Amino acid sequence: MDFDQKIEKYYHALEEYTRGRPELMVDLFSRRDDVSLANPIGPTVRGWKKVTETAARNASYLRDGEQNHFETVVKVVTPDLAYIVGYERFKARVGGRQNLSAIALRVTTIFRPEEGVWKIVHRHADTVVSNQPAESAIQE
Amino acid sequence: MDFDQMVEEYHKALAEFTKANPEPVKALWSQRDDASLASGMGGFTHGAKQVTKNLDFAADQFHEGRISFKTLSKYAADDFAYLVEIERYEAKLFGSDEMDVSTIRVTTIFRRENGVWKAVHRHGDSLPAVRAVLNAVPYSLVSIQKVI
Repeated sequence: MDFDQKIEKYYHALEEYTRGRPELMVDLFSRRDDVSLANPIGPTVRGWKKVTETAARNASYLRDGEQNHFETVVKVVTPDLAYIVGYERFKARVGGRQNLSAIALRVTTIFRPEEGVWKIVHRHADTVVSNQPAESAIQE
Repeated sequence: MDFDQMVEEYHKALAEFTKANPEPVKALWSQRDDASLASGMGGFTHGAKQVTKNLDFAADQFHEGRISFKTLSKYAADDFAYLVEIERYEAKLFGSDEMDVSTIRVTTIFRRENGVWKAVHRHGDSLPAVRAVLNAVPYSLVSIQKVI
């Protein structure tokens, strides 16, 4: 499978994730011990078991995801490793909230070919999406 | 230079960074157009020139600092490698005489260019970013996170 097809699958899996369904997403991760995940909530975790548990727990906070939009800033693909960096934006109901919240993430994802298949070996996502002007320090 | 030596150089360079000296870190960066940086200032900086500018600005904010590292994951193929770490800074911030402590989760990607390892991407976020998300979710979830 070529890398661009893998990215399409990844984006589809992320859409599902914002609807509270982590299965497709965790399936894309490497099963090896060095797999790691740095989610916006909580610490970085390492190892297949912890990665799947963390992904499942965080997905459970999300419901009814919609308007998923992916913007790639950099994409580098080599036979050794590949990575994409960019933004993920979507709306979803978070936790017990009834209203849709707009969520924007800044994300780095690293892929490794394992037995001919691209697998995610690391995902790092945070919410620091825009350059923050001085005015952002003002508390309303 | 093998990758472990590169990591050692990177750590030494970052220690200099906390003393307002960005030069050793800059020397380890790729000068190519696909270099990118996701720093604590937000968003992505893209292209070697912009990355350099950002590093100059960021190093200027720290004085008399020191740094320690915890490596969470590290992988090197022939010409590509990545490093997942926690960096703990203690430094005086610009205009202050007090030591400030911050913890940053960092992903760094390296590429071998003409036989030399270079940093091509760095993504770092600090605890305030984590807190910002926690503030956005109901309190019960925050408690769950604290327990876990």
